[in-house]
Amino acid sequence: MAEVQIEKVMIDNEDKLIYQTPYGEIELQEDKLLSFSDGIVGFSNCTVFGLASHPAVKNSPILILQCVNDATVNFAVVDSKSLSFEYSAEDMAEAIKSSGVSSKDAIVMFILRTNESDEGAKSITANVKAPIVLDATNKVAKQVILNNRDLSTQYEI
Amino acid sequence: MLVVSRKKGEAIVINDDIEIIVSEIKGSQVKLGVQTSKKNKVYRKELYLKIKQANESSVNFDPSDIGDLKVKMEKTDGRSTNREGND
Repeated sequence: MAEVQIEKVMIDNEDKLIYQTPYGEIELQEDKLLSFSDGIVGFSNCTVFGLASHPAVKNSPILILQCVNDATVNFAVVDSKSLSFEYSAEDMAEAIKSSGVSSKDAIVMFILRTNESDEGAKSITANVKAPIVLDATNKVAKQVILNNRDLSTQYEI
Repeated sequence: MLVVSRKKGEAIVINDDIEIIVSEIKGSQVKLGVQTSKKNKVYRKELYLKIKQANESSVNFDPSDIGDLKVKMEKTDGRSTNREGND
């Protein structure tokens, strides 16, 4: 009995990539990794990422986008559907077109960041100007930069 | 840096797949046309830097703020935030 269990643990370790992040330990499934052929703007070497749910907060809408090429790079992202923010039809069409993903498979995500005002008040913003459009079925993703000047890299949520 | 003088309508070519043409000159402003394959991304530099800077400062997201965010989002949006992958 004990032997069987040990064997199972070893198999799990082969199938999963484990990362230590500021959010806690996350596991990525190798067969679900996303290919960012263009990298992320400013991180052109980061071409493979995995998505993990938040390790410490149950049911958090925030997912961790962990880079496989560089273990120190990870982003907190959120599915656009879990925010009240919505793109215009035109912006959405541009996002889909630039990403090269088919509209039925496209999932749009925003990179989050924390801002601290001069008074020390913290707020969380989403980069709606440069969303990540991904296709989980074909395991490809891209960060696209939208033309609309009204879209902010720091949309307060 | 390579510096080349060009008149309106003249162009430069980079490798086989990038052509930059001076399409209009008006006072201190120059309009450039860039012809290239889709794999080359062309951005105004200030926009590129803005996105790069936004990405770089997003790497250091403070996880301790996530609890607050959850509450905030539930308040502003009634839709379910449960997604595949969460329990």
